[in-house]
Amino acid sequence: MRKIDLTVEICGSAGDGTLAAGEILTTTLAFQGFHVLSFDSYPAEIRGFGKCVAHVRVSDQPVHSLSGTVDILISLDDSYSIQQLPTLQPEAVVLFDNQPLAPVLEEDQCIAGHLGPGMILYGAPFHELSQQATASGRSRNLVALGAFAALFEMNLEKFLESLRQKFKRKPRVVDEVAAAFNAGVDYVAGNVLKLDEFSFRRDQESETAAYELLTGNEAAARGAIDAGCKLYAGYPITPTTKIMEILSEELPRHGGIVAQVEDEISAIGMVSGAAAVGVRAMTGTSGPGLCLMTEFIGWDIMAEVPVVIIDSQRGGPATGLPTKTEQSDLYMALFAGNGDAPRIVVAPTNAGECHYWVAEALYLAEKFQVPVIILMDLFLSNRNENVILKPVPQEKLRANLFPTPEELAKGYLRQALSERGVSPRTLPGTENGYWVISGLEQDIYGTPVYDAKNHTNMTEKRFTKLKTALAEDIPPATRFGCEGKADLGVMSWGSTTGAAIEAVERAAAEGRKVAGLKQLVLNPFHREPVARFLDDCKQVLVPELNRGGQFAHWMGMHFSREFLRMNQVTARPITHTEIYNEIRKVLEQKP
Amino acid sequence: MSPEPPIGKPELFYEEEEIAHARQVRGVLDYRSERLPTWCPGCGYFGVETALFDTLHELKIPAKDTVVVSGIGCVGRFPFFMKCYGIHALHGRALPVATGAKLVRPELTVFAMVGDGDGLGIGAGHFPHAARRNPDLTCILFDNNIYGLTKGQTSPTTPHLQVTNSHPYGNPDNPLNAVLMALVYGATFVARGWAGRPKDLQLLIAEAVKHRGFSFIHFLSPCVTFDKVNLLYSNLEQQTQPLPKRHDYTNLEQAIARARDPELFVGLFYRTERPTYADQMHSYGERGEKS
Amino acid sequence: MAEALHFVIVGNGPAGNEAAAALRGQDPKARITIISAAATHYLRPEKLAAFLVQPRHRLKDLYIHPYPWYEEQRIQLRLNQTVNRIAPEQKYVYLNHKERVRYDRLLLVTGARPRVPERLASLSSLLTRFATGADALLLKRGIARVKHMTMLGGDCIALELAQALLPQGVRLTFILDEYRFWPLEFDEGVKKRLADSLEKKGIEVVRDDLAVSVEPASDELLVKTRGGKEVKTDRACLSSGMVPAVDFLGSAGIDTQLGVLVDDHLQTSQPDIWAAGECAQVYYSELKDYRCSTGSVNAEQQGRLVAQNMLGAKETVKLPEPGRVTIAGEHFTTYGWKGFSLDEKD
Repeated sequence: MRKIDLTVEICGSAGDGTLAAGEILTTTLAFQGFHVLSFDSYPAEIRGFGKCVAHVRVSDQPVHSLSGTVDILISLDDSYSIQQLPTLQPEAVVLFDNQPLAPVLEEDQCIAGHLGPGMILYGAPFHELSQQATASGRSRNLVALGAFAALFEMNLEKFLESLRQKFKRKPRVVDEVAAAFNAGVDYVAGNVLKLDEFSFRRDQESETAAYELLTGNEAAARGAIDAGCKLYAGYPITPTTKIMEILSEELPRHGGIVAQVEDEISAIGMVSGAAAVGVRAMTGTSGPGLCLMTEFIGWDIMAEVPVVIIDSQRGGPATGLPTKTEQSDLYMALFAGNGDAPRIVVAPTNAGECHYWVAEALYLAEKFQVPVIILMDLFLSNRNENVILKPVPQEKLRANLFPTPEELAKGYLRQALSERGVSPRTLPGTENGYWVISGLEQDIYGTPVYDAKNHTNMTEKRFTKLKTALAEDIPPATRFGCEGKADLGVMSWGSTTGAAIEAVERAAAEGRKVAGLKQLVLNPFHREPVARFLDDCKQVLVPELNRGGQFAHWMGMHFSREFLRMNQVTARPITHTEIYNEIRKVLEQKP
Repeated sequence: MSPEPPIGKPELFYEEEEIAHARQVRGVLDYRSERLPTWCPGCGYFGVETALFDTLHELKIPAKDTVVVSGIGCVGRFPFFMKCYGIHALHGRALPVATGAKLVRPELTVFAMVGDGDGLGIGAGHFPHAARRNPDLTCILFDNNIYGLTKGQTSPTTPHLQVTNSHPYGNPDNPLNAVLMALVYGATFVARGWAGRPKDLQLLIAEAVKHRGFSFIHFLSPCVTFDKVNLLYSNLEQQTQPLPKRHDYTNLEQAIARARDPELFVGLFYRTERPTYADQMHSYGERGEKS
Repeated sequence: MAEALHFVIVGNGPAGNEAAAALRGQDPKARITIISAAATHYLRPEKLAAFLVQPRHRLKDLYIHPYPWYEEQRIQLRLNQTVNRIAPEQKYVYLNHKERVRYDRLLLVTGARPRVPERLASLSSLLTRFATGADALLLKRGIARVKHMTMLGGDCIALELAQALLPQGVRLTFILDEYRFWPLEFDEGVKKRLADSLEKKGIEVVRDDLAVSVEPASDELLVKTRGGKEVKTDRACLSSGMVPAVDFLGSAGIDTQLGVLVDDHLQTSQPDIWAAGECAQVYYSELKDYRCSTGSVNAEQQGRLVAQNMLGAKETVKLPEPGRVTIAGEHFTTYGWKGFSLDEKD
């Protein structure tokens, strides 16, 4: 049972320092030992105006999804904050600037007249205090944080630590912001009577001390470095650009190279070239970029070249909604490209898994000489959460199947058939290891041929290698929630899994017979655990962020089963509350 | 899935003695595959093959350290006819693949073989970036002014108004000037050769391989099967002219002027030195360690 | 009238809530806003003393209306927000946080606030109050350290506090004012009976004296009287009665004296502005004079009446019945407070 489960939002206009304040708050809460999950929204425009919302869920236990409702709102811009009110809990707390800059405000410009009767309003003169403490109104956001920290009994030392960390490259700024922060703290101490019961006091921090606060993108970048990726070629695209930017600074320190190239085709081309000569290489993109890479994916499958592609999904189709999350590229990841072109597809569900599966993808790609596509999404890429990263085992750093010296001497054939579907692979620099790889179908001697028998054999080989991967390395789906027979099962993928886990565990804790299944590798996958799960569940619900029910459809291709769909294209993550409510709705329906 | 069949040899191969002779006199069999080329007899591509083998032999670049990347077209077959490491990439994409390979394994000698359709049509978008990045590889553009593999359609270098299989009333487009493009895109080694002068070609290729940076050779080669009117050996004999001795290949303006000249010059147009792509990338590594 | 009228009610006590409920009952379309400087919801102040000494009591259990009531009635409730100025010409109320709200009909029901005698005005920050829910909350948070409390002046609120604190073993001192004990009808006889009955309950009484200074003395306070008495105490509580809370009206053009002057229809000197409850100084035709009323019952009645008048009626307010306060068996008359008794069983 969670003792604390609160969501805090800071809402302001571009230029108010909303997101910076959110970052400092999240970091401090994490320093104090809370589990946090933050997910901000940015204005679509680059500069000037637009609503910014910093949003963080805080709990004493691990959190895997957003709740969808807000308990505490800090308003740095009332006109925008008013728009957030519908998501506030009836007993939410709102903190606002009670001495704004304007000489007079009308009712629709001030949040004070729009609250529900159960809400509590606290005011502090953010602007004035910032002016007094720093001779400028720029640090209003820090004053607000100070007021927040005092009101909700946070550890002030840890706050100052976060400030020092955030502005570590500008020591003068640290003094300024600390002054503004303390002004907010002092004001509350002297002027505000606490009426609510929310508290972020936490005395034991030891539990989460080992955690790092990472976004999915940061975790993915770390996975690449830790698994020995030596080339990242990419093209900027929201929301994956950050991976390239992090790697462009970090990867050279580990002897790797980051190339920003002219388009996604060049990116996958360079990655394919590097991988073909034996170096671990990967690229990252989003839906539109993956479209461009389609031809090369097929080529890598045919030529048996190990590449790793991250697709962090966003609203589609086409250019779509570049700054909004979605899960609608599954079909593309599984099927894009002409011909029978099987590839490995993985969908991590949180930042820790982003790290683990990028590393694992580089290993699997190399071992099975096949492209691995990692499906993330904008929510996963951008949300901040506490993780403990596991080190990559030494034995996974090298996975290429080399021919033995005897095999080389006998006359090495790159395209030889094999039981496992994986042929030994020499790398340039090896005497007598020569090969030609091609997008054409080749026989075992490497000659492009068109006959039926060869095409059948080679196609078989491409499918067999995935069966081998399944047998040797791919983990099965895991179950959560109630055991044994269930009235309702929930299956999801990617970041929605977190919401599913929380919803199912909540329902199960209430004594309902609800279970869930978590699948990380979407292709190939072990049939058995899924079949057993489907057998155990009277009905199965599949929540996912796409209109067509792509994952439900994919499962339906393998199992003859009707799935209850929960499809949304709401451009925001599905919350655990929504899935829980749907679970209740389904259970309460009489057939 | 059936186990590996016993290793047999491909259908066509040389007699033992001939092999021994060729191996002793010239090192070409160190680089020639057991598979014979399938280009049409008389195709200019044979000349490049020979020139390339001679170059590698002369420069003592072992086959095991050689990577040949090709696009799609008749040129695409190139790696199949060499004994080294070959990558037959996608249409228009040889340059990124070659760049990636060379970037991560700079000890390899990398070639990008592209066709006029492949390199100047679908692949044209990669050309400026390869030139300006200056990766240390050699790019040979096999220009036969036609799409040969797909049997005779117009290519980006087919002359205006020429009748082809896709333009029975004459090509409406103006052809691209590959040498001019390479110069303007900033390539650090730009040359043109043609199939009728194999010795000159070999010299150019040797220089290109020795050059530290992106070497671009525009290679004119008659398509004996699908072009009976334009790019003939006889025509090219008359139209081509070696660059004058006073041509200063360190002078970019001169090179550009010559490239625009209606005379079809052959030889080394331009050469300069500039840090390569890998040089820059490795300097980031050093800078990264310091910070 | 096509647009719904905006009724703004300043004050969230019995008068304001009854008025709001009555308005909503009569006019389903009206827009109703309650603005109050109070931090806590509408509650009966007489329950605060019990809340103070019961650790498990929560303030929200004292609320008259659980907050969903306001949502159901479609009343916009604005707590912890202070009106600091009214502009009757333009029909705006101005709030402390620089917002202004336009009204069509305005009701002033700000109630009463503790009277701060001149001589104590500068010491105000050292004094404890016990008038509102916020006061009670603040006092409750420090109640463990209160072993001795001194009441400065003496009023019925202090009596309520005494009733709650005496059983907890807190020692009490009343420094009784010479001339008044709010809201009792006062004379020499009442004064003596009052002081005697307090002493009978074990309360120390300093008669006919005035506190003139309060100083911090290590972690206690030192109260000095005009008569030379010194009292060491943990808390010095302001208990000089309540007065109508009308200071914010300033030069709004609304006639005030002790409270807001209203006729027997509860209308102020400004059209579209009414007042009721403890902040109003009502003209009673029976008396041919103005009088302030006290107590929630009067306030409720006036609230219901004024709502009718704000909707166009012309109801006349009736003089309230006198009430009775009992202390240690002795009875005292009051106008407004009904049935209060300082005896343990109540």
